[in-house]
Amino acid sequence: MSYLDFQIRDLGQLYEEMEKRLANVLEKWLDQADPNLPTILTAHASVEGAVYGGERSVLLGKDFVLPKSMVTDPRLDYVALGHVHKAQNLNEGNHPAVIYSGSIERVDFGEVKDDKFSVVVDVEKGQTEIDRRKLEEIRPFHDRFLELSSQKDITAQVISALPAPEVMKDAVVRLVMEYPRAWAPLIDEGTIQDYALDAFEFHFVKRPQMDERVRLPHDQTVGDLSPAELLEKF
Amino acid sequence: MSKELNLIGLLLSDIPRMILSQEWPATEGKITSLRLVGQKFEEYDGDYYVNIDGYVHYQYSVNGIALTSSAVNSNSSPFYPSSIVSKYTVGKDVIVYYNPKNPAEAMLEPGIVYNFKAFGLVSSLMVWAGVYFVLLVGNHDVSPSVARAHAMEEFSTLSVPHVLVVDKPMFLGPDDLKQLCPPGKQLDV
Repeated sequence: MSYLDFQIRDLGQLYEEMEKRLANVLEKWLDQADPNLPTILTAHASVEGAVYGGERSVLLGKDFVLPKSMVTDPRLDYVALGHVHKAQNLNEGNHPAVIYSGSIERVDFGEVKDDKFSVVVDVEKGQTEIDRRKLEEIRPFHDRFLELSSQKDITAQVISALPAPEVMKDAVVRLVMEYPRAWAPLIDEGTIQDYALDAFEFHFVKRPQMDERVRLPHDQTVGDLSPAELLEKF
Repeated sequence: MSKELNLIGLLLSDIPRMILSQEWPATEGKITSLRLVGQKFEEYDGDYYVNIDGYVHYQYSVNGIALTSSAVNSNSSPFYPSSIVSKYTVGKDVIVYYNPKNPAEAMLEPGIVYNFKAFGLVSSLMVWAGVYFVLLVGNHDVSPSVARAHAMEEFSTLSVPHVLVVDKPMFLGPDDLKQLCPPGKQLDV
């Protein structure tokens, strides 16, 4: 920020100012570029319209987001983007190709179903050939969910919800488990962690569930209720 | 060329150690302490999980001199995943492999492990094979503190040939890109 000499504190205004300055400088450079040579724009940034893994779209507001119009200028011949892990072309079927090559490994569980690619590009003025090559044998992710329905042999229930040890080997595994809070002492986490020891990474996410507490209405006190009524509420 | 050799030397400094460690002499040692540290991490969807890493400390002696170490393998990080730490027990006898030229340098699991420098070796071999790099600094490479170095600063500091680091908005014309190309080779622009 000191490099840009901004005196702005409001994030929205700051982003607006950054966008304005970037648009100006990009315009200047595109004018400066030799029109007979192919022009490539590369940026590590969020661009409006991009989709994160887990099908979440890039939203305006939280991060600095480049407007799509900035990267689809027809004077560009290829736009190579980084930041978003999901491989995608934001200008499908049009020139220039605006490509997020995506991460070469899955990084979080939002990307469980995403394939990963490398991109080989042949860039020529006005014509760009894209060759997306699917990456094989990337690290597997396994995402499991378990809702405990009985407090009987919880460890066995958890193990049956997890993939077999040979499947978990070198994989990133997550188990999300919902259970009544009172059963927490019955969970033998050490045994479960040992079962998943060969996993590259094991995330055991525990979601204890608590019944909503019974609250008396504002105009009622405990003394107003009979023992039988109190017992029923208990 | 000397800069290239310097870079290769820098990146390779750990590799011979990893290979040679397989031939290091062994001595008996004892695990003196294990410490597991849990850290809470947030998932992309707001859930939390606890990741457990740990330290392993052990003692050993060479030529009657008592020594201590906490290196399990060639990785320079003192943290090891719980899958490694859990293999050891306090008070248990272990075999310690030590560097005969510097017995204070030791490890429990000699050999090659993947780390950043091993990645550096691969990338430098690619440079030698004629693949040139434009490295674009991203959010994970930047320090959260203002005016601190980013993760790719070394490439600029060492003026690594055929590697160009882009860490601020810039326009690169044909002349700039030709500098990426070694003498005798033609960059087609």
